[in-house]
Amino acid sequence: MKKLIYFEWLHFSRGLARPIAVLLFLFAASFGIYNGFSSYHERVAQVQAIEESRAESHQEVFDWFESGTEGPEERPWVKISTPFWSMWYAKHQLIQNPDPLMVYNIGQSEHFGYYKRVSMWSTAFDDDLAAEIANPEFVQLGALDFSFVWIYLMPLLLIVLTYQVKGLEQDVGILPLLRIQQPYTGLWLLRRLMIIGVAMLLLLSLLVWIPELLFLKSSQTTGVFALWMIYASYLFFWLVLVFLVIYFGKGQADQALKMVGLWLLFAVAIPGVVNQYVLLRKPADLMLSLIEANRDGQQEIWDRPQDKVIEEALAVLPELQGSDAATNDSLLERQMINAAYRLVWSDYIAGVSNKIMEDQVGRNQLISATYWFNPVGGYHKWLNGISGTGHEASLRFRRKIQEATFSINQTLIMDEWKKRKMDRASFVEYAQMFESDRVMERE
Amino acid sequence: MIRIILNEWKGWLRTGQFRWLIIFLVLILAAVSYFGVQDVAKRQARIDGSKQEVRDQWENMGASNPHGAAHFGSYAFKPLTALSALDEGVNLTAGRVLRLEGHVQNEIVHSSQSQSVFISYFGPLKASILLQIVIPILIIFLTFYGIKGEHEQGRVRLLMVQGISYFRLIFGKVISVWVFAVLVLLITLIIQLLTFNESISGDLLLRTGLIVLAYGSFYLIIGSITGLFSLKWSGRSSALTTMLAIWVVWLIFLPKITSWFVQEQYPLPSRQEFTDAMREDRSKGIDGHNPSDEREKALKDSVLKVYGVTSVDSLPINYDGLVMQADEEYGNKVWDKHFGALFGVMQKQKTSMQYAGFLNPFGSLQSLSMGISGTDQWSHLHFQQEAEAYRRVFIKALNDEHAFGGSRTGDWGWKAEQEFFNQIEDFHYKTPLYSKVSSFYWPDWISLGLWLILSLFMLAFFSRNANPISQ
Repeated sequence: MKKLIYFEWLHFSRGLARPIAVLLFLFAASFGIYNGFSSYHERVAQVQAIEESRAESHQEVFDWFESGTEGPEERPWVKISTPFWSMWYAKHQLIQNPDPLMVYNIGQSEHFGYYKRVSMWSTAFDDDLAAEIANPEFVQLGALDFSFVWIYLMPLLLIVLTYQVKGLEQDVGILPLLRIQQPYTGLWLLRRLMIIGVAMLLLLSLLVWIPELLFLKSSQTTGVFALWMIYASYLFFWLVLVFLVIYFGKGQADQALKMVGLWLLFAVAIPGVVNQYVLLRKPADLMLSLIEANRDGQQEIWDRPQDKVIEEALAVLPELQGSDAATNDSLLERQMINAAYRLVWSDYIAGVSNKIMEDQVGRNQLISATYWFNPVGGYHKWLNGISGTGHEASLRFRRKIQEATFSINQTLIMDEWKKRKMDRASFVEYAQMFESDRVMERE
Repeated sequence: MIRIILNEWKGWLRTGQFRWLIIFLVLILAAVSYFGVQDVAKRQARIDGSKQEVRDQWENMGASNPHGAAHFGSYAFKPLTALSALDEGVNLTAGRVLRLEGHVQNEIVHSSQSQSVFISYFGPLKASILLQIVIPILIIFLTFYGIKGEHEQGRVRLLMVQGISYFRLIFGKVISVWVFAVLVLLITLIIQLLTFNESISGDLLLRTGLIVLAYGSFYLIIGSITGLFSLKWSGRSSALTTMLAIWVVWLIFLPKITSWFVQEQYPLPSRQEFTDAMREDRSKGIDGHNPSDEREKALKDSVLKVYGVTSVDSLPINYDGLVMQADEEYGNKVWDKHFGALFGVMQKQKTSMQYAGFLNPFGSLQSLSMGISGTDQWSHLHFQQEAEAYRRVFIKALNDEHAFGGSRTGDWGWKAEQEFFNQIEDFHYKTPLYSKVSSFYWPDWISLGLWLILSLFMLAFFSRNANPISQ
């Protein structure tokens, strides 16, 4: 074995091409990790800034309560002692906490917003839930993270390291001699590829575990181990392909061409065909249903007679039925009626949003059905799932927004109908409604 | 030279594998082009349908309060260009729907890529993917093996004895592969044009011609550099490895690294910072000395003076409409300041990326391919600016109606007739002619031109000075 390792080392160090390829790969991988690390920290800083700004705004409200004023001077219509305005000034921010595993896998996170102010009028597809401001051409280029390097560049490195294995012997005509010395050529090939494979696995382990120890302070061991397993299995997948190409290969050129062909097939062609197929079968949603809901649907609800809306609100929230206002219409005031309209609207818009999300899940299922022949897509989804940086994480976040909107309207109608008078303590209660929701969206 | 090219072609055609490769390549490009055109047609039909539906809603909303109508708003759908079938550019990442309403300027949202799990790093299999990634690899392999074959089989000496110069031999090899690549490109574009559903305009023909020029130049650069390495290393495999490494660096490394560097040089604000700054300027005044309440007071005084009355209730018009329009106009100034700065940064980023083409001709090709296809960042921002210009006219019409349509101040229940709303024209976006935007792409053309001259010159220089017989 020692001899084999020494032989491989000689083979590796004989020319400049292979060491340069490894150095380039190392540079790209380190850069990818650095990029992931800075993206993660930018997000952490952003979340902190949002929380600070929210705390400042809450302080302003506390001052109003203390001084007995109802709101800012320039907005005399604000009555902070009412549930509606207290809820408004609670300025709920739903945040999808950045996942430390972003250091390895930025995934699709650049396509989605990760924080949103939620009010009684929010929907899961509001325009302010857009991704961070970015140059569209850079978004299209995609992020250079470690996963990108491993999924697209590792196979190319493997090609550079292995296309001469057996091919060189074949080209210079010493393969028959080798067959005399090594009757089981397959086993010889397997041993050589195993050495390269183990070296790559060591490289992977260093690249994955050093940042975990140095930057993440061993805080993400389980997640990092899961990522490591996926990266390792992807390496194994390529080693099998490379073995087959070399085993049936007819020289260096033939092997190089076939390996590059396989890379093009798995990295470019198959995902590209799947993408085109999905675009044809399920084109991107132009959100017409949401537009209609926000225009006609909303108008239609506000045009409904008051008693019908109250009836619908009672059906949506049966807990209201015991209240005085539910049994005696004359007790209903304007704010209370508005709260009923909002509750009915938020129930309606949740249905519309859910339908859009169901369509997106359907699109995802269509894509997932291709993973048996589209492994690169499958690996991406797997990685994004673990690091909470994929589309499914964004859907979970959208659902939370929808639930939060409903929850705000539910709380409001309950309190409006009880004619709750707000004070500092009840305002704090409002402000903390979604504190426990600030979690990462890992699968 | 022609004999060398013809011989090379005959040699390929004699090889069964190569014949299959040509058939496969042409078939796949034909299929990709056909489906690309169908896909664009289908998506454009959806866009047209949605646009019509949104307009129908507008024209059937009935008598409404103009301010309510401003909130009802309008929607701009970014149309697809004919050459989107060739190169999607930023289409799938940048969204297509823009809500146009009063008080706020929204952003284009609902991109295709935000609506599903990850599908493909290189995007859908459009002709541009094959033309930018697969054809260059084929050029590298064919050029390399063409030259390597001559060396290995010892034909170089024979040809030189017959009086063929090494320079002509190498150039013949490079050109024969280049002509093949350009033919594949032409076949692709002809299929695109033949399957294109609409009439072919002069602008489309010009753009198609420029696509041929850009891709053709790039193919010659790739072929020349491969030829150069192959002759320098006499067809040894290190030439192939080096060329493939350069290809990976051009295709993947440099675009990523330069884009990162450019973003560090010209950073964009976070969404939160940006919206906070806009809100601040709108309420406190752009210069910090003209807050909204003071602006409103000044407006009120001037209006009362013009109409010769002492209170807004005595005005013969609806003062609320004037306030909203004044606020809108101030908001427009704020938008111009902030979005202007944002677009400025994006433009600097784009220009820097274009200059990076002097290191990476693939970057120049990509930029030109998207730019000529009308699917690049500039086209995207142009759409956004045009839509904003329309929004201003649209909202002004509604605010004017609110102010002067016959209602009085505070009368929020007043309604304008449906006919008034129907008179407001819908937003129609037209992609600008290439001749109007060509100046944006000069850095890309210059970079590609310089690379072409340099690579051809190097190939000529080294092939003239090489002595292959001694190698």
